[in-house]
This record gives sequence, C-alpha cells and structure tokens, in this order.
Amino acid sequence: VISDLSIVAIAFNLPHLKVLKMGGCDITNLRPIAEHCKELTKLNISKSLLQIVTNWSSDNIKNINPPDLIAIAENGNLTHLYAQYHCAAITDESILAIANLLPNLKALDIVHYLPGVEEHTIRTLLNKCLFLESFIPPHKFTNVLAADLVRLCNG
Amino acid sequence: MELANVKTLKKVNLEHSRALKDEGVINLVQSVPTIEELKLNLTSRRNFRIDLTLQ
Repeated sequence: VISDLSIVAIAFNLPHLKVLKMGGCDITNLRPIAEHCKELTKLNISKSLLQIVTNWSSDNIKNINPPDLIAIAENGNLTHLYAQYHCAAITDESILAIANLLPNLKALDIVHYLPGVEEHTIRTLLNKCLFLESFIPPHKFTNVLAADLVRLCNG
Repeated sequence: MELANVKTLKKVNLEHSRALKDEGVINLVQSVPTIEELKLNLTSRRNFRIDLTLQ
C-alpha cells in the first residue's frame, strides 16, 4: 500500500519532479506536492474501477481534496492530469480552476460515475483549454459529448 | 537495495513492483533526489490481473 506518507516524502525530496504517476494508491493529500513540486507537468492519480467497486460499501474509498487539486493547478505548469474515479475531487469548482489556470492543458481524464459536474462547466473547460488533445469526461457526459462535442467546441 | 551509486537517476518506473510500500518509496526518494519522473502505478495491467485473482 502506498499512502500519503509517500506523498510527503516525494514532495520534500524531489523538488524538480516533473512527472508523477501514482495510480491505484491510497492518497488523499496532494497539498505537499502542490507546495514543493512546482515544476510538475504530468500527474496521474487515477484509481481503477475495481478499486472503487471492491470498497464501495466501506469507508475505504479515499479521494483527494478538491482544494489540493486546485493548488496544483495554481502552479500553472500542468499539461497532463489523469484523475479517474476521484469523484469527490472532480467538482465544478476544481474543473473551472483547471480551465482558468491551465490554458495549455493537453490531456485531462476525469472519468467517474457519480453526478456533480454541470454541462456548462465542461463547456467552459473546452472553450478555455484550446490545446486539449485528449479528454475523458465523467460518464454522465459520454452521450452528450458524443453528439455535441463539436458544437461545444464551436461555441 | 543499495542506492548509493544512482545519484543522477532521473526516471524511475516501479509500475510492476506489486509489493511496493511507503517504506520503499520513502527510501527511494531520500536516496535519489535527482528523480524527475516517478511512476508507481498500482493499476498497471499486471497488478490488475493479480487483484482479480484475489477477489
């Protein structure tokens, strides 16, 4: 198991970290990364669907805090963010922060099953992040985007 | 694992180290502060197969 203990050690020891991939780890606190790894360009904190399903009835589903995600976006260098199944962290507020603070974002994966993000937020994201090459939205928008992505992009 | 001779290492990929724990990560980053790319992905295909087997 890899937890927030590793996050703290990474943040304090690797100030020049540019790529961090920690898929499937039990992490909740990204604040140290936001404060110490200012050069971070690629971040992957995705969970697996299996990880979610097997912990669904318990309180073991760990999510990062939305303000931590925003704090990382505030550094302004992130170009790739993969945060699958971090349902609680993917809010309108955090997505709008990403849209406003990371205009050079190239890849964003925020797929998850729960509701909580509005269509106008996704629209804003697509209008702000003009260099987005890869985008995997929450499941609720899959059908919407299949038909409307071009319309949204064209305003 | 002795890490004294890898002081210039920039990329570390431990995606297939299924037994990786906090202690290992902490030891690694304290020993190799030059790391710029660190991959500890526990959802890699190999680990995912192991998870399925255990269920």
